[in-house]
Amino acid sequence: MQEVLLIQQVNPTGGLFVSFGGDDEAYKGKFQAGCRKAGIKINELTSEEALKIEPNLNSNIESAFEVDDGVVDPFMLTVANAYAARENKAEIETYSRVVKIAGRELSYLNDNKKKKIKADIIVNATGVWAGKTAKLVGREIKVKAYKGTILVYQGRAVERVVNHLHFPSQGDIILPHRNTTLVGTTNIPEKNLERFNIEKEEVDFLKEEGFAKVPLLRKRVLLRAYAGLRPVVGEISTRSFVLSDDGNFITISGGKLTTYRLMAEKVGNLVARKLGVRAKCRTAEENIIGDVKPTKLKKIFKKDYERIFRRYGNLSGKLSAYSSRNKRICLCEGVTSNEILFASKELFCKNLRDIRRRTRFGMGFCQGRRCTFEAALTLFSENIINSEEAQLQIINSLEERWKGIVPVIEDYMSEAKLLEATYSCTGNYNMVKNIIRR
Amino acid sequence: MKTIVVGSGMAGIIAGLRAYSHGSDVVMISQGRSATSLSSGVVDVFGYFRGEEIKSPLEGIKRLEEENEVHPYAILGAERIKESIDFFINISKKVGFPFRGSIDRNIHIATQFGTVKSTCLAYDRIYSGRVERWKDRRVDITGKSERNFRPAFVVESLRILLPKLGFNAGVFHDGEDCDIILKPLKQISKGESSCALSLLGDGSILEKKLLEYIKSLGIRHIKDRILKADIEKGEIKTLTGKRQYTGDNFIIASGDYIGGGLNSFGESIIHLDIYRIKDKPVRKIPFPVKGHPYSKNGVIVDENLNPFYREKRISNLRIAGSLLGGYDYCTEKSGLGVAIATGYSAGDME
Repeated sequence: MQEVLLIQQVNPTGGLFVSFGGDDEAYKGKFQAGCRKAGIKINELTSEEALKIEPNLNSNIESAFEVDDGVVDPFMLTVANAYAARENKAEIETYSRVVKIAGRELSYLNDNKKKKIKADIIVNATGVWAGKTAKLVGREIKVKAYKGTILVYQGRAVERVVNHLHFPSQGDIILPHRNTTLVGTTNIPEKNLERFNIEKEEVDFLKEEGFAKVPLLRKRVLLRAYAGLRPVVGEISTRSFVLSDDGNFITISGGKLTTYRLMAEKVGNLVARKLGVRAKCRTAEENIIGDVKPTKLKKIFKKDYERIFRRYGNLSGKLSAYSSRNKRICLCEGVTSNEILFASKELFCKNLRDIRRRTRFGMGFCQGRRCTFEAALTLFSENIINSEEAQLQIINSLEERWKGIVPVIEDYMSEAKLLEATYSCTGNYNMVKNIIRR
Repeated sequence: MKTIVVGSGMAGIIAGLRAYSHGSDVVMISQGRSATSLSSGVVDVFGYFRGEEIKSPLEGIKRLEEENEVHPYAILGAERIKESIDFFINISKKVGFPFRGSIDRNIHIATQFGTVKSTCLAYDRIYSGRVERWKDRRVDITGKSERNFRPAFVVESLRILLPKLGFNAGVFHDGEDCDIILKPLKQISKGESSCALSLLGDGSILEKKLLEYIKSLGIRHIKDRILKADIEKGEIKTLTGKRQYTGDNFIIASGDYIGGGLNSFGESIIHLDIYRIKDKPVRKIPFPVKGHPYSKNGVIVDENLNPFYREKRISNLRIAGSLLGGYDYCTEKSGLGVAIATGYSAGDME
């Protein structure tokens, strides 16, 4: 619980557990008892009170409890951690796959080039691939992968995390994320780590679960669906994590986002011990990125300040250094050219997809139709990429957007067709892309 | 003779003008945005057949007829299509936005995306900027940068792409000693001799001029959304939106998914019988060479462009434009061509 509260500092929206007519009324007692036992503060609300704070809930509420809870942007959280690590002299190489470990020497593929590096300690924190990576040193780590799918609706239909108050099941959660509403999740064992699909049944199921809790979602635009694999060790319900110590090879496996810091602390302490370092881990006490002065930022970003600060948090200070000829790139999400350049230069970006995850361009209603090209032109105009690279990235970026559109395309037909009409019909990319790629 | 036309994109406009030319009293009803207004305004007639470039639309039309394809062009035949193109070219002259080109041959134009595409008819200035004219000449692409357009990008991209496509041209970006200068259409001022590069949205210039012309003829254009149709004995009696509309002939050119004539349930006003791909309608990549199967979804019609409702023909209704099934304008590059040809035929009285 302590860990959850630490992470909440990112965006403490608060949460609700709500049951509706037809749900098992007996579960309410189990829930209250469980919270008491775990020391989790809950506050019972009447259905009127619940509807007052979350008016879009299905009005057929049986019982409701307010809890502490929060929402985090996993992209920015990861980037912020990487940024802080780099400030502390870490070197970070993305898109690099480790292919061989021989004693203290690690071989990896980066941009199709084989590179080698020597390490005193190797930490295997490869998530669902932890088992595959451990095999490189002949060790067996058992990690099971469970696929979770989430639907993304345009607009915030709720302001808090809304959980279905019933026996834990799939499709329990609805939460606000930036300018969208997420409906999730499924929990399906998955064998293929590299290629997995979102099935129609998952989408249909999640839609129904979403409508049951927040009927307004029927009127909102379903933008896309995405899925990821959870690395599970032990019992899936506990989501526990395991630290394995094999001399110079350490594996941290399992866990969930809310325990990431604790997991990292344990790894850090173990590594420190092995290296004879006596410093104490400070991540529970200190912000990973130093605080910024709001008044100074407001002067620089003016009307955009709120959006910028919500997006980049304490990294907004670094963005403020990019202050010339700012243009609006993404009309849906408001992203400006300075953000594109900032992300490209400082936030570990190798392509437009990376830049999208940092800035959110292409994540709105048009899913990149109007802004992807302009984002690429921004990089071109600053001589960061040439035209050929720009074309390849535009195609690649839109292919990634399409991957999330396909599972929900029946609800997104008009925009999907417009995307195709823009690039195939007007741009002739369907014919030209293979020539560019040659 | 009263003709009601639903939809005021290219298909609806041409249908209305054709019906008018036959002496019919025409009322046009529309709402929302048309794909025409979002396009770059060049008239694609038939550029690519089954993933291969074709040298002339006529070649493609012939192959469709030979292969018995369920394509609006196969239904109409080359003669009728040619007539409709001539009709359009004449109108484009009348509205002061003259188009050039011939159904006998395709041309290539440069796009704001730094790519090249095959098309057939284009506004005068755009036509004179076609890539065929670039051979052995120095071409400059210039103008003020705007959204999704940078002259330098187009130049660099084309420099790499043109040789790969088998074109020989020198593309520069400094305006000195150039034989051909291309600028965005909107940026060319009166008296300037530049050729034009059409950008996304320039289709709205063409559409606007056509709608002004329609207004000047006294044809009423009403803003309304048609929600249902009353059908009796295989004929439409009334269309209902905010008001009711009656007529002798009805033409629905309400577009595909973009205009809203089609949605994921089918044809949106009457639920006409449609041709629809159910199994694997979407490809995994956004711009497949041969397109998505769902792009061919649309209303089924007979040789008179009459549609069917539960297999019963509706004899006083004709369908035109992208609402029709059996073709894929994105990969064929046949959008405005089909709109013009089917609009013209739909507006033709016996």
